[in-house]
Amino acid sequence: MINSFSSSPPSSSSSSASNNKPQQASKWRSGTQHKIYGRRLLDALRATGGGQPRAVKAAADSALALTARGQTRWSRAILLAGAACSRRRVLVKAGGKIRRRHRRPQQQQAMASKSKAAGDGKVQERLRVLGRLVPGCRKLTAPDLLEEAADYVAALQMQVNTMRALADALAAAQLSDANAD
Amino acid sequence: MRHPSPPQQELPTTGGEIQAALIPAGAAGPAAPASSAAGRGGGGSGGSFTALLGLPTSQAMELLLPRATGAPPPPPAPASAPAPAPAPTFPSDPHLVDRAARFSAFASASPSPPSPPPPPAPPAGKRKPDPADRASKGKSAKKGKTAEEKPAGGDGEDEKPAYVHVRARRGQATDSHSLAERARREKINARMELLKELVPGCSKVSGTALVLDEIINHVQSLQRQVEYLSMRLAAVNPRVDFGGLDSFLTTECGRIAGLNCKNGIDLEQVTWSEMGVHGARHLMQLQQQFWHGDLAHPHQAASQWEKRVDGHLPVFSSSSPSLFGYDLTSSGKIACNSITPS
Repeated sequence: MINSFSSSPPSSSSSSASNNKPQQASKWRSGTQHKIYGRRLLDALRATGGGQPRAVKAAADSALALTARGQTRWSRAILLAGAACSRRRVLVKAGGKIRRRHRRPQQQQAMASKSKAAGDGKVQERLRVLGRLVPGCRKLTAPDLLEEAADYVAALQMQVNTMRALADALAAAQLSDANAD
Repeated sequence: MRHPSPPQQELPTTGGEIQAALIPAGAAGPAAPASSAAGRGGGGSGGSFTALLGLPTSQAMELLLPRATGAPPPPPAPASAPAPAPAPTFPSDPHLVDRAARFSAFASASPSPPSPPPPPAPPAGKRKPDPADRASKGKSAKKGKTAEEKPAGGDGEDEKPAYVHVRARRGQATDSHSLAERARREKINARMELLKELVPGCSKVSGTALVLDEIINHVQSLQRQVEYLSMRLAAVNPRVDFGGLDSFLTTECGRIAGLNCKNGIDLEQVTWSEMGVHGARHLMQLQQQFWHGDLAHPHQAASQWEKRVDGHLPVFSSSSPSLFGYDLTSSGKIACNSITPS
């Protein structure tokens, strides 16, 4: 299994899983991504004013998107939402626009075939719901949407694990400090 | 018990510290006894350290310790002393390089076996024999039916000049439209398989709609968990300063200065929060970022900020995500930029 391969030895996974195969969602299982994201998350948390869950969540999501290195659509959408810099917005949008021109002739055919093969109504509706859930993927075709969703699910899982570990560690440290004082 | 350098040498350079902190103690447990066993020249079998080398423990010991004697040296002194010494010799060791090459070759070879199985797997999973579908062309023939995978000997047109690699199955239409659509459907099915593996509990469910239901539920639950955890972190943040986090991440070597400062700042934190100053939490955050670079005079600086912060608080918190977007790697710069003490 590809997943088990990437997660077992951290030294080899850092070289192969995270760099050579950006399409594989399994890279999120590797320990190095865990560490990279943990670092970024802490930096982000330091930068926030603290005490506001909204800011913390935005910081965590932006850190996650950064760790994704902008290779996926959802990560670019998150970074776009956070970046106030017009320069970056133009860059990312330009990349998105170029890609859209390539996809248009394929999109119509793909959507026609998707409706035929996938049993119309219910599946279509659920695909639309999924598109709304994954940031920046509202108007995606089925295979792209599914790919983005796979990567997003893996990334979210890693985010949850890291944040939970961090919150537990902080709470434990806080308790020990309170007891020590 | 501290054996800082040996484990950190083996882990990737992005920092073994977080791994020590975030990965539960069960995983860190074997690593620590393995390193202590390494110090004693003994035989803990396959601790993560020696297992990474891919060598039996005895050979790893020989490489690690400068003197290949059988006498076990006392743990603390040589654990730290030989650690810098063998470090430069590691890459030059031909034995190790050979092992590393074999290891990576093994690593690169393993993805290739899994890749052929997935393409046959989706059609095998959705196999529906249709022997009667021989002569029918057109799209209704292909709808939801994939014949068993055999080499398309009976079909006239097996290969296409196009770049899409799809094997036309026996008894299926082979015009370019249907082939292209079949290729796309196979892509969709492959992605669905991937998703099914990711989302727990999807392997039992059959049918695209139900699987998608499960996926949607999973994504929503993950997002809710993120919100809940961010609320927890936000609640925890003001009390715990990030000097404590430094002690978490960089376990031993590294910011010992942060540790000392953390102990000094803690008392002040308690007093600040007790005073109930408006925005005292934000004050503490600013305070930490300030002494991140400079330890001088938190009292004076805090009094200055008291006047500034009241008016600038909303600006600060809303601008932090935008600042965030610039560059996360240089956190020091962000701290200095965001504070701008006059």
